[in-house]
Amino acid sequence: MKKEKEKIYSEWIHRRQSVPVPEGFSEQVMGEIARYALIRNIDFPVVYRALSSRAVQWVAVAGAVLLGLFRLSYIARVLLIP
Amino acid sequence: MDEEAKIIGQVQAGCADDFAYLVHRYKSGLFRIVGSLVYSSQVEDIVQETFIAAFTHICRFDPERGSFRTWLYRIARNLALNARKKKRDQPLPENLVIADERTPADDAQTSEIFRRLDQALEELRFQDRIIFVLADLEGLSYAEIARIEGLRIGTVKSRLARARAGLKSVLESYVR
Repeated sequence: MKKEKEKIYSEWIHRRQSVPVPEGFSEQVMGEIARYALIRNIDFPVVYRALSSRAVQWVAVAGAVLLGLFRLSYIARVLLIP
Repeated sequence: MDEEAKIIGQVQAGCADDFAYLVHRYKSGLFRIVGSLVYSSQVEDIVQETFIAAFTHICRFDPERGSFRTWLYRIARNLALNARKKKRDQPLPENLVIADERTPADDAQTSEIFRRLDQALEELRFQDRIIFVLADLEGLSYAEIARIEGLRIGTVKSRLARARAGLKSVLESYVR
């Protein structure tokens, strides 16, 4: 009887292990993944890489310095030249 | 470096297409695990959510801290637990998650025992059921289960023993 119990139990375990995966499931998941990857590739890296790029940072700093100089020269002209 | 580690590195570097290898490799295991934890209508969605969560957070995966399998199964376990909590008030479905509608034996009594075992599994506490599923259906080691569940190995062993005893008591009442 013990053997019979073990046999039934093993059959039940085997049955629970045989879960069918729906057809086309991998393609469906990869479709979703591609959508997420596209969003990530467009939104995140482009903006992030642009902002974190050294060249862009230097251009921004140089622009700010130039703007500051123009502003200072304008103020100086207004204040000093009657 | 093995094939899986190489693929994970490529996905972490931005090659989304390589994730297909991981989907192909782990989908059956996830269906087995999730299929024994939630209602059948929720299984496919949760397995899909698991893969998407793994993909979006793959940069956080650190092979030094454990295998990809335990990391992925932990995500699935958490999503299944959340889904289960949301549907806690619903009555048990008449058809539990059953892998194969055909029974291995033609015997009507065996079918009835299988049905009772399915029901007994469904009635186990979530924390006992997940350990039974990971150990006896997936064949994970105590150490891997302990990592997924965040428990000590001794606790895993005692919970597994309790789950097995609960299921085997069903057999006792039918097979004498």
